[in-house]
Amino acid sequence: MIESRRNAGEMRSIPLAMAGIPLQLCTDSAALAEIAAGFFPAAEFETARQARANLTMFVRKRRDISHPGDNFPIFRGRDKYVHADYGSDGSVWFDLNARAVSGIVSEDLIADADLLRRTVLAVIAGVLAPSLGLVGLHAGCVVRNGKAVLLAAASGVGKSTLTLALALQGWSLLADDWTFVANSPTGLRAWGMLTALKLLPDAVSYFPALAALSPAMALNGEMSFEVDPWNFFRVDRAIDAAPASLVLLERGPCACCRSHSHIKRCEPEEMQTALLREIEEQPVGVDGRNDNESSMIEQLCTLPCFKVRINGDPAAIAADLSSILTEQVCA
Amino acid sequence: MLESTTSALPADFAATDMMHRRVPLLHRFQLVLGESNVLIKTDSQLINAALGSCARSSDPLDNDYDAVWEIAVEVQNQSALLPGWRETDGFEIYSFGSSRSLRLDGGSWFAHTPPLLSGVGFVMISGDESCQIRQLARFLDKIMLFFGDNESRPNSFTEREVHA
Repeated sequence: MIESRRNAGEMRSIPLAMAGIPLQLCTDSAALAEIAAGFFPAAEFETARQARANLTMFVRKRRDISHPGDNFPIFRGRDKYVHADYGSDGSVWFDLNARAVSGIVSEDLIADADLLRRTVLAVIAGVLAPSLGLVGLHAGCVVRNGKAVLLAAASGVGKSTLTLALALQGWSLLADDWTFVANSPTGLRAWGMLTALKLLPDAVSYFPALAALSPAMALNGEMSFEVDPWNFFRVDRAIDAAPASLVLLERGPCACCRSHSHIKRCEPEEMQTALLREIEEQPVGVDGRNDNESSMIEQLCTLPCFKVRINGDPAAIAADLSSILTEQVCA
Repeated sequence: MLESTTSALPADFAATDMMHRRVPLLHRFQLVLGESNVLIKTDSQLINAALGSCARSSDPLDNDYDAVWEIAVEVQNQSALLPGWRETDGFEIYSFGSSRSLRLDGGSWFAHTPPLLSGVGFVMISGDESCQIRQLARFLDKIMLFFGDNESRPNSFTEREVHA
């Protein structure tokens, strides 16, 4: 990089991993290296040649005096290319076939580690995942006894709220919104990322501690609370676990009873359809697009599946659900 | 300038397309870039007016082209500029993997992998129709400069080259 090298510190090469898949980061910023290493904890692998994707990230001064985060990022892609544009806070480019990610971010963005994780590193993870053979499921995930329960739902149904409610009842929190599923030598494995938990403003009525915070605009344009659940709510964190069960969430009162949560078995086909509906189809031109997704989702849906219609107090729903799910993970 | 339009298949639309990756590009135009004929696939008919003298008047269905540019056009309601941005004539060129890209203020970009001339891009425009055409023409100008076709248009742009 011509511009950055003039002022650059020493380039460093850092081994990272995403869902157990090795990545390599080259950067001129010690601070960025440290934050990235926390977000993509490194797996033990021998050499950089084994990395499945290469990230090159530079840090430079901003072009103007607006505040970090003022430049609401936009994401656009076509063919094998994706561009995440952060205005004067930088720009990140993806060549999905080469599994190459390159970008420049501002010093101000690096200074706000949480903002960097939320707006840059989480985006890198989400965009790159399919190219690494990972399936990103629109699902929360909680863990007990080393086994994972995935909670799938469309946006707005209450995945994050229920996931947090379960975590507050003793489950470990792996993810509230996106769970990555990977093949491993021992079978499928669910992975979470160190991302903020996103709750809509009305969640304050169920989680009063949120009243100390102010909702802000999330990347999807919604006003929401974004908090580090492990620190803010002091819940346990799980990084990865073997999936044991799947739950499909639907919102609204149950037609047949007055319970907070009407729980019934779900046909694998229905679960499969619901999971596939939330998968973003990779464009023509991307190598191996969506190759793994159908087969991995089919495999996942051989696990016990439940459908839950939720309505009302998430703590009560979590209590109902927890007893059934505990049977699954202890089986 | 002749134009052809293809029909959109329902499969062109994904249920989830957060990055607008599957916007159908139904309009076809051609331009001359140095010695090469380029087919432009786009979702905006305004590209035709923006091409000006670079347009090639031939049947775009004759397959006589050397490269394809896929250009999605997004019309912004208020301003094409993102909050906190200012419109400038500057642009940046990035290298990533074996690919290169052109980035303009306001979220517009174009990327390709040399030595191919084919590439893809997005352009953000705003204002009335004449304003939109002017912005599209500027975007196309910069792509041509990006490919080194400096003779066809005056080079009045500030360039910063960034290799990552």
